[in-house]
Amino acid sequence: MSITNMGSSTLFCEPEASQNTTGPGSLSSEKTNQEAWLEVISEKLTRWGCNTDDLEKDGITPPTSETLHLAIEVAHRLCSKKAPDRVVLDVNGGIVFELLKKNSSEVFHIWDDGEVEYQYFKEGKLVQRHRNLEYK
Amino acid sequence: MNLDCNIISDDEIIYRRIPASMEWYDGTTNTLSPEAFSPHKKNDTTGISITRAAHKSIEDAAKGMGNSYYIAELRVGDLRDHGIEVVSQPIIADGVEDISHAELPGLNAANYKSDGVIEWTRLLAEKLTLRIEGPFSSQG
Repeated sequence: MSITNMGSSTLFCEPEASQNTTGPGSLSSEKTNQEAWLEVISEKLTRWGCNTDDLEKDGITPPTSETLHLAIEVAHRLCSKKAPDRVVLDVNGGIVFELLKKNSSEVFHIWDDGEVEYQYFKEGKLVQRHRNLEYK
Repeated sequence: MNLDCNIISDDEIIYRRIPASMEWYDGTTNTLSPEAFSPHKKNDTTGISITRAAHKSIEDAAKGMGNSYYIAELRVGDLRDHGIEVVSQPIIADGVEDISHAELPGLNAANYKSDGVIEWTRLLAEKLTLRIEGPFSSQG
C-alpha cells in the first residue's frame, strides 16, 4: 500500500483546501499545503540533521541521514495533502508526522529501521495500522 | 533497605522527565506528544523510567545531562486502572541508592513498536498526565 493511498476518509488525504485561491473570502494569506510541508522540511527535518549533540545528552538516538532523507521523501510525497500539526522525533531516531483533531489523530511514522507506517487513532484507540508502506 | 519502600501505592504521584529540546511538550497548546513515553530500544530493556514524587523533589527529578526539562505528573492508580504496571526499581547513582527510581515494565525495548505500547504512550500523554511543570533548568 502506498502512503498516498490511505483512503478518502483520512485527514492527511483530504483534498487540498482552497487556501490558495484568490478572490473574495479567499485565504490567500495562509500557507498552502505544499508551503506548509516545505516548512516542515526546512525548519525541522533539515535542522535535525545539523545538531545532534543536545539529543545525545538527553539519551535520544539522533536520526541517521538515511532516516532524514526518507522523511523528506515522505514529506514530498504528501505535500499535496494536509500538512501535519506536529512533527517530532521519536526516542530511537525515527520521525513522526501527526495530524490532530478533537477525537482522532493520524500519524505517519518513519521508524529508525526504515519502515514507514500509517496509524489512525479514534478516541485514543488504534483503529487502523498500515505497516511497510511504499513511499516511492 | 526498607522493603516497604518497594511498595508503590495507587495514590502515589510519579514524574516523567521530558527534555525540552525534543519539543514533545508544546507549552502554547499544552499538548504532549506520546513520544515522551516511548521506550528506547537499547536503554529501556526493563521499562521506561519514572521518579516517585514521594522520594524526590520535582526539581531534583528534573536534573539530567541536558539543559532543560519539563516534568509530567501522573497518578499511579490511573495507570494501573488501564493495565499499565508501575514497579519500584531502586538504582545506584553516584554510589548512593536512589529509591525514587521506578519503571513501567510494560513499555520496554522489546515491544516499542507493538500496538499496545503505541496505544499506551498516547493514553499516558493525552489522558493520564495530570499536569506538566517546568521548564526546569538542569545542571546535569
